[in-house]
Amino acid sequence: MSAETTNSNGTEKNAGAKRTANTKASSGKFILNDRYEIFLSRPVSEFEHIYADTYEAIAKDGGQSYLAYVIKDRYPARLDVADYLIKQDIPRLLSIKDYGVTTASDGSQRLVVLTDKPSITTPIMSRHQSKRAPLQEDVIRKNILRPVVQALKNLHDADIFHGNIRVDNVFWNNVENAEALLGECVTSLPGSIQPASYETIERAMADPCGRGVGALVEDVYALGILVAILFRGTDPTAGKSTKAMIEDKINRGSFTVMTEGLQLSSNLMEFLRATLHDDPRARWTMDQVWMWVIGNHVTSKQIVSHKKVGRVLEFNGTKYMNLRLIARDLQDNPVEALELIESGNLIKWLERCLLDKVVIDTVQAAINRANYNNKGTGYEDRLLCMVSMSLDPRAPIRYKGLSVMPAGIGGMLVDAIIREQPLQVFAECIREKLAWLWLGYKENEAMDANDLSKRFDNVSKIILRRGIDYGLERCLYELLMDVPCLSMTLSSYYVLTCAQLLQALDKVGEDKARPQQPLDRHIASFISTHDQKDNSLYLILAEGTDPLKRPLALVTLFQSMQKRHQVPPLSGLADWLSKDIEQIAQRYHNRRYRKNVVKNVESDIKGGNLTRLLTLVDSPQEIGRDRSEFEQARIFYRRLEKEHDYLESNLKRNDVFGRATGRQIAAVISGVMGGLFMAATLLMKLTNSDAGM
Amino acid sequence: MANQPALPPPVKSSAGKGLFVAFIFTVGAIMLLPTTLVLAVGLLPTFVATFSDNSRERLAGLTLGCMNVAGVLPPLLRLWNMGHTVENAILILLQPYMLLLMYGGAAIGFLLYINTPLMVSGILRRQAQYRLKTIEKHYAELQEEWGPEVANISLREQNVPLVEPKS
Repeated sequence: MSAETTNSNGTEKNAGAKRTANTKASSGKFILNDRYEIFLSRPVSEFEHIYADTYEAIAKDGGQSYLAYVIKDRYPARLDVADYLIKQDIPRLLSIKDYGVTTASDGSQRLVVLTDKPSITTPIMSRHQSKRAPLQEDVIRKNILRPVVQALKNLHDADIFHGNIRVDNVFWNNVENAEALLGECVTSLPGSIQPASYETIERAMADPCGRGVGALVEDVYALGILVAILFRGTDPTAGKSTKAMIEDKINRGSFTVMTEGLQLSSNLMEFLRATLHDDPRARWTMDQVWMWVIGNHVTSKQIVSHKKVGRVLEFNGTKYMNLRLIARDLQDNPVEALELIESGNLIKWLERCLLDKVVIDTVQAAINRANYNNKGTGYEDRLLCMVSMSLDPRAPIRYKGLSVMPAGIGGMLVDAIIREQPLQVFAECIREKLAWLWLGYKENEAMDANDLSKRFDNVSKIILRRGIDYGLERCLYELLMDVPCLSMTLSSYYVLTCAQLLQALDKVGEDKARPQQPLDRHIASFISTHDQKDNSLYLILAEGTDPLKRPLALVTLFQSMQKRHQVPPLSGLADWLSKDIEQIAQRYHNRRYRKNVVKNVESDIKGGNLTRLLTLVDSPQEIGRDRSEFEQARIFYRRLEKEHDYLESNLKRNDVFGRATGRQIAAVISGVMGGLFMAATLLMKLTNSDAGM
Repeated sequence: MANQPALPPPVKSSAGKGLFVAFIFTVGAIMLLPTTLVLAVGLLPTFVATFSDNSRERLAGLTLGCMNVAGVLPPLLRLWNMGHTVENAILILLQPYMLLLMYGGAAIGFLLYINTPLMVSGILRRQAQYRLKTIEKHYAELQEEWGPEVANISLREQNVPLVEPKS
């Protein structure tokens, strides 16, 4: 196997934000950033998950061993977190060394995240194990919780949600029962690989890809679950369906479900009760957990938030006594649910059972809001979603079979695009401002830490706008900045930056089976969200049909990007744009000059310098000269036409053409001849008279 | 009365002028009757040509007249030499040589008037045809260099002033 490497050609000026591809793969090996070799023949199965394969990697200089996560397909990773962790080494957290895009021998690209490799890769409990020997409270506290909480505390101080706390992602470092090491959290979307049992009730209700970045207290819950499982040696919810597990947790509480049958010390019970509290307001923070770990007494908040009611509601053949469950199951039978709501039976039931008037008012407000367009388009789905949301505001948005947290809409959309699933439901979800409504509930105020409501307000406007760089694609890139460009044109490429986009288009352009033009809705939206310059004007024109403005805008867009991001020659992209460049050359009226320009374009394509190519066809000086000369030529032509018309009409008048001039000439000749004759006569007369004298 | 505009100065009518000229001319003709006789007979073709010419330029009289006058000059000189009398004038007019001289000049003028336009028309026609070919060659050259847009129909129809654009 050769170890040939290439230097980075796509380094962006602001390279701090994103690492660019500078790798080349030989058979069975990836080279990452010219520094690391990744051996595809040496998989490390303990760390792999459904969105990433893991392999052994070594540094080319020192031979140090690493672990490489090779992301599957074009799934995004949490690169903002990776950037932080590369700069900031957090003790007891699997450290991120580097990441970048590698190119396989077939030309396809993959995102690789490189982490430290624990000396002995032993998860506390493998995902394939259903049980292990229970751990003692002391071991859990000292060897597991102390290092893990320390790592999580550091993460939370930086406002980073881990989201991957589970038994198979916590490792013994070196030997069994030594200090534990918390696994990575950057190679998958938050919550997407986390078993539902580790998620809070509301997150567990969401589709795994639609969980999104959670609140920090949700890490605390996962930590509580981790401790409960380790103390028991098995997961008490194992074998149950997610639906049944959620139902059990809602009815009995997570603490009861997870600790049933355990002999807990009062200390551990206090910890588990506080971390597994189903109301996030009553749950401990990571700081409180740390205080408990180091042996301090921590007081818990006492919040009673039962939404259990006294009367039974029968729906879809089931008897309900809990608002969260009825909210969850409303979508199971939409016809009956609509009847229940529209007949007023739901409100009546709430009035009879609930003392809390706020809940009734909230449900009534949701019903009224859903009817804003007088039962117009989408009323039924909107009504079910809004009523469900008002009954259980912390639960995910449930809309047409979609169950997603607002922060997870981006991730869910990526998954749907990659799996080529219908996307209409996402567009409707955004258009109906459901996420924005969700964030408006006071129960969800804590989730709005990242200005989510502003972002959703923004995307709800974006989705209504027409244009190649708007719509659902743009919403995706606005919601999830670390997602690669998901254009079908770039299906083999992992494009994270504008420089990478140009290079990938360059490669695609080398293939003659390329699409007609290097711009589609995904690429346009990606450029709009990732390029620091506002390219909206170019994109509007590039979408149009004007035979000059369209190709000119397209070429100028890519030329300016190449210049701005200092991307080296792009001969493939230049070849792809050659038809457009030649079309721009048609702006020159002078055919000879136009032919020369086209000839020069053809010879300069291999150079791949779009600026030079554009200068050939868009030189203001040449355009001005051409226009001026063309105007002169047109005026000359017009004069010739006039003369032609005049001569032709004269020639048609055969009988008179030239006669007038002839008569004038005849008069002149006659005058001259007559004058000469008279002068001669007089001269002769005078001469004769003189002779007579 | 003071408000009335001042009357324009009296203008001599052209009719009056004409009458005055005719009077002088008639008196002169009577006084120089022999010369008048020779001129009247000798310049008869010129008078006929002048009054029968329907062309726009009305150059027949001038063309014939120039040669006719040149032909009448020798008989006049002879009249004035022989003695300015009516008898001498009639004598001269009865001489065939003199008549040939006077009407020969007119005939030459007539030939010039008839043939010169034909010749000139032929030359101009050939020139125009040659020019048309040159123009068509220019058309082809312009269209080859600038494309068919150079023959801008709209410009032609709009009758855009043919002003050289400022470079």
